[in-house]
Amino acid sequence: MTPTPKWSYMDHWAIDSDQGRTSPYISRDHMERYIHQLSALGFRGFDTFTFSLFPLAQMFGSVVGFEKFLQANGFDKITGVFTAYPSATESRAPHRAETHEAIIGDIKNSIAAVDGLSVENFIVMPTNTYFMVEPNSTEKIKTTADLWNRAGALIRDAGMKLTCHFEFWGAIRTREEIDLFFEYTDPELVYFFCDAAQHTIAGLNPTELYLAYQERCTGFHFKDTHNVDPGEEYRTPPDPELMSPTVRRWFYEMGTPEGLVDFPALAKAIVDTNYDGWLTIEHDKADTDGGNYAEATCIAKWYIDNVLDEAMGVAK
Amino acid sequence: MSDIRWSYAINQFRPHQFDKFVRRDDQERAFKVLSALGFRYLELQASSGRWQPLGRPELIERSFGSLDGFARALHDCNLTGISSVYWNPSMPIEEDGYEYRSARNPEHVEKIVEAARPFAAMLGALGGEVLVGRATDQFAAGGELTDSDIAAVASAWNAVGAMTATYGVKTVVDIDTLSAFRTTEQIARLLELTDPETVGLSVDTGDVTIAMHDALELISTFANRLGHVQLKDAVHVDELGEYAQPGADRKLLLNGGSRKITRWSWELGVEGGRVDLPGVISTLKTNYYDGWVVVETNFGRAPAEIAMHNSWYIQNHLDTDFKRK
Repeated sequence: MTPTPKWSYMDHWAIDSDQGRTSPYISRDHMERYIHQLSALGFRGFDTFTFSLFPLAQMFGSVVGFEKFLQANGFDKITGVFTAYPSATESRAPHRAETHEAIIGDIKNSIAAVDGLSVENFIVMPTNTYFMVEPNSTEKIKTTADLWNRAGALIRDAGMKLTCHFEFWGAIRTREEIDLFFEYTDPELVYFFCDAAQHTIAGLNPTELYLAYQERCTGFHFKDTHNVDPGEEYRTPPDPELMSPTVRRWFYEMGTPEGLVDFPALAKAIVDTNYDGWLTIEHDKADTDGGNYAEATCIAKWYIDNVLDEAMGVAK
Repeated sequence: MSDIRWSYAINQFRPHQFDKFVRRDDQERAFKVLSALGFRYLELQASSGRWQPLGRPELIERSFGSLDGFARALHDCNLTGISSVYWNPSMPIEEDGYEYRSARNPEHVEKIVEAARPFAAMLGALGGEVLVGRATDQFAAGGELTDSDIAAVASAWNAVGAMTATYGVKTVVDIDTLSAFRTTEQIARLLELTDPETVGLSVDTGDVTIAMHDALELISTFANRLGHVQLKDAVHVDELGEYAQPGADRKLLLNGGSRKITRWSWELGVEGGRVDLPGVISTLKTNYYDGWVVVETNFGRAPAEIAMHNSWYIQNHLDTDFKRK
């Protein structure tokens, strides 16, 4: 029998307030309302960013206090934390070995920040943005892999899995680059996180990629896109996600008619391979051009209930 | 045993702009939002013209091909159907030649009945059960109700109720914030003069609270005639009695009256909310109410956010079985 999928929500949200359009992180009242809204849809997991842990602790007394609030609203727990270095700086650039010590220090701080929780995925964006790394090389990928092998051991010892989330605009984005990265990383220490939209924009099939790395896959971002990168938008400085010359909005919720990701196929592959980890809804920049996080999230949940459950053989 | 049935007023998704929420794909997204949140039935609001495709049966037919096509569209979004239609017979509309009609005027009764007929027929065809009619025009339109006014209003709704019954539809009268019905005694008299088989009462918990009634008391007092509940919260009340001024619909409800109240209708359980919502549900259950409870929070900021909050409140404070129904 197919196990009931465990759905979590990746922490992106914005609300209308008397202070204008804002993050719910402006106050505990707004955070509570945001969590209540997610709770209404039945999400069980909550993924957030490492930079959000401090404000959560401020609002709820501690991160554990926030998790207790989640649990009082039907969630199991904080399931994942996400950290990233979009920009290469003097002190933080995974492809430059001389910065690794500083990044490892950051990782140790983040591990300490989730002490007392039972986070499963420590999600990293393994590289800086492409234009700050290019020209890419095997040597740079190998150096990047060295960093994450080292971090992966620390994260494993803390009871989590280090899992790599590849952006369409990151320095590891093609199938060849991903294969090389995983060849250089230890399968016991460094895992794969499959973002359906990011891989699709980069011209890859997320289901094929998942099947290739399913033994190392520890999570998914279920989000859609309407565009494959038409050329070299991934190189756009300073930020390809918001400043692409040709595509104003890259990411969409599941269930839009123009969506390119074959989610039923991905869901079926997940079931066929007996994956039993978390499945995560992510709506990154959902309010671009009049979009709305609340509506997008309801539509995605409707798609889960009415399309994916059938594809996954979930008993009603 | 009480078996409350939940529905959601779709007009929440239409902002104060008559040319918005017109496209069918926008409407279907709203249907899916409500479905994902556990609602299975919608209440429609009678309206007018080409930019209100959910507002009249012929407009629905033009947009969805037919009433069956509309029903299929609902089912495709995992909604079951329509619970009810809210209708204001005093709203002058293009389809009725922009005539002003008042239930207080005996000469208008026949026209009111015929104006109601398309909605009754549509409800009958779609399996809907309740036509919710604004009891009468606003206080300022005719001033204090006289005994003969109440008798005239009762006659009008008896006629409407008899007509809707032929379609299997119950008529209920709604006492809104600006209603000429200001007292429990007036409402009681209206109900005494109407046929309990065909005419019932609708209580909008937010509207009656703003109008200085106690919603819980109204529901208790008239439990045997209750045929429909609209559930919303209210933070502010019309304690200055500004309902009585001419144009109160704009001056008070839209412009906030002399105190510039920016919003009257609130989502369930809002901080400072005056409606005892758990008490309302408990009272309905105590009285074995088995009709519709329609959630409505009109004119908030983001409809989906409000609907999410309303669903959360129901699941956590009003009806733990809500999503399993």
